[in-house]
Amino acid sequence: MIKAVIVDDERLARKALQSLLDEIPDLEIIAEFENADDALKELPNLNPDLLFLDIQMPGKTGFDLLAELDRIPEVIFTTAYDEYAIKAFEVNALDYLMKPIEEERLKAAVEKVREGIKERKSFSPKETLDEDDQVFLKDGDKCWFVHLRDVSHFESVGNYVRVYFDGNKPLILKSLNTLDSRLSDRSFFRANRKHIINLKWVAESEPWFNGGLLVKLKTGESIEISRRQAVKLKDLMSL
Amino acid sequence: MHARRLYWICQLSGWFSYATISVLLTISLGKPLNYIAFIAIGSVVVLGLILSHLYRFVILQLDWLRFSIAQLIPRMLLGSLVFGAILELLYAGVVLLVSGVNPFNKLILVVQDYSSWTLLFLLWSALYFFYHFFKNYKSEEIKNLQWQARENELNLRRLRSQLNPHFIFNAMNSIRALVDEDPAKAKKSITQLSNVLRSSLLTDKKRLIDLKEEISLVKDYLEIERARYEERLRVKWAVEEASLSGQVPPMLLQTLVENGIKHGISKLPKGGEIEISSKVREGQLFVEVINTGTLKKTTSDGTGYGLTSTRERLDILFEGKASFHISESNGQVHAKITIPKL
Repeated sequence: MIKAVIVDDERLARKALQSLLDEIPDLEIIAEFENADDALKELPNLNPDLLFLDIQMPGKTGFDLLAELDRIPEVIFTTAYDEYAIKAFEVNALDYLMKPIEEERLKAAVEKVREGIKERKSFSPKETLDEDDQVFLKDGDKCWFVHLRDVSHFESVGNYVRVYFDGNKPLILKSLNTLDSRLSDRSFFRANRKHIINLKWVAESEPWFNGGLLVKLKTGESIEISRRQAVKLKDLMSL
Repeated sequence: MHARRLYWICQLSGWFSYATISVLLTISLGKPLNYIAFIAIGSVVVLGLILSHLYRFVILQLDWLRFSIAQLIPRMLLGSLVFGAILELLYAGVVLLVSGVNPFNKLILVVQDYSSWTLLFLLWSALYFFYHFFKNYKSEEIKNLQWQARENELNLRRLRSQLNPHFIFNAMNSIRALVDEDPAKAKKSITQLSNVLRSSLLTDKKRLIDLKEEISLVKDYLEIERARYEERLRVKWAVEEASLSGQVPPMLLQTLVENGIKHGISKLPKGGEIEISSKVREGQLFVEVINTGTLKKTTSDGTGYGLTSTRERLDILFEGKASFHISESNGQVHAKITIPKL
């Protein structure tokens, strides 16, 4: 059974989608929300497999909602004709459905995410974000779904964190400490006050001043590791 | 054809006037008005007519009309001197034939005649060129005006607000849900949407429509939006009877209402109110749209376009006699339009 949630500010739009989803036997709508704030409060407890998300809503937009969620389910965007949103989709190849939604398109979209949902279910629920989890990043008009395995490192910039992946480096409004506590220790390592690195992306390391280390990433960047952290890293790597 | 006739009328009447003046001068100077005098005057008129026509031929062949006035003056002088000389030679021949006296015996008379012929041709060419400059100037001006009118028309077409596709698709989506929930309301909504679409297609045809028509469009438009936003959209009307016959550009009020919903009410989780009022005071039509919301200064999301195009449309249609103001106070946005009532 796929557990789905609908977020749309218009009751009739939710109803239209609901009546279409009734046709899909193994899909259950476990909740509906009319704005992003209500959804944000409940989604972590509901832990749905699939989210049908409207973009333009009063208050926070659908993109804002995703950017604030820690663990992101599979997402299918729903929107009426909206030049700006469509541009964002096309740039980032996100899946979206145009309202009024076509039944065949909806079924195809659900089929497409089915695989991702199966994968997700094979993992036991966990507290921290692992490399298989995906996050939603939003920087100005651009947005991305990113698997954490593709992120090479995070860098603290004032109140923001810069995320490095696939040659992109958007800023997100989060502190590095919060992020550190959410990320799994198995994949991510706090290198110093300013950086968290993805261990899979480490190419080589060499001794550095004061018993620290200098780590070179596969992307070419070099990141210093303090002495205290270097000890921890050696422990981790030697295992 | 018309220009050619005008040319001949001018030619004939001009040389006829010359003949008349010459006869009158002969009389007033007390000279004998015998057949020799008549032949002298007649020959000048006939020769002048032929030579000036030849002169025109030369002007057209050499395309002198393309020159500026400064470039023309030396050419006019030269042409008049040449044609004056030819006329004087032919005239002298006529005099010799008729009276048997060689005019070149009295050189002072030859010089006198020659200078008057030259002046005659100068006057003739001055009139000729003056006419052409005047004609060109006028046709340039007409072309300019035509061009300006066309540009205005194009601008108006560009500025004409069209229905937002976002609205159409959302409306369709709401109607689809209504088909199951409330078939009667769904039917009504389809009719209303048709009305709105029809009106928006007709805007290309008309520059101005009755406010009454525009209000009926906005009523349908708002009914559809109310089906979509439900209790989040509240509508209030304050339309005075006298204002209904006022003339407004099509889709003008609709644009303001749409802006009010798009940038005001749709952004508020609890929704808001939109109030439309119209009245006539001192020959001016006042139309106002008030909606809950705040006025953002940003223009990136299209706000700026709707409003600037409204302003430009009013400027073109009413030549600056209409005005448009938008302001914010106490959590409300006021959009006010003043139009001279026609």
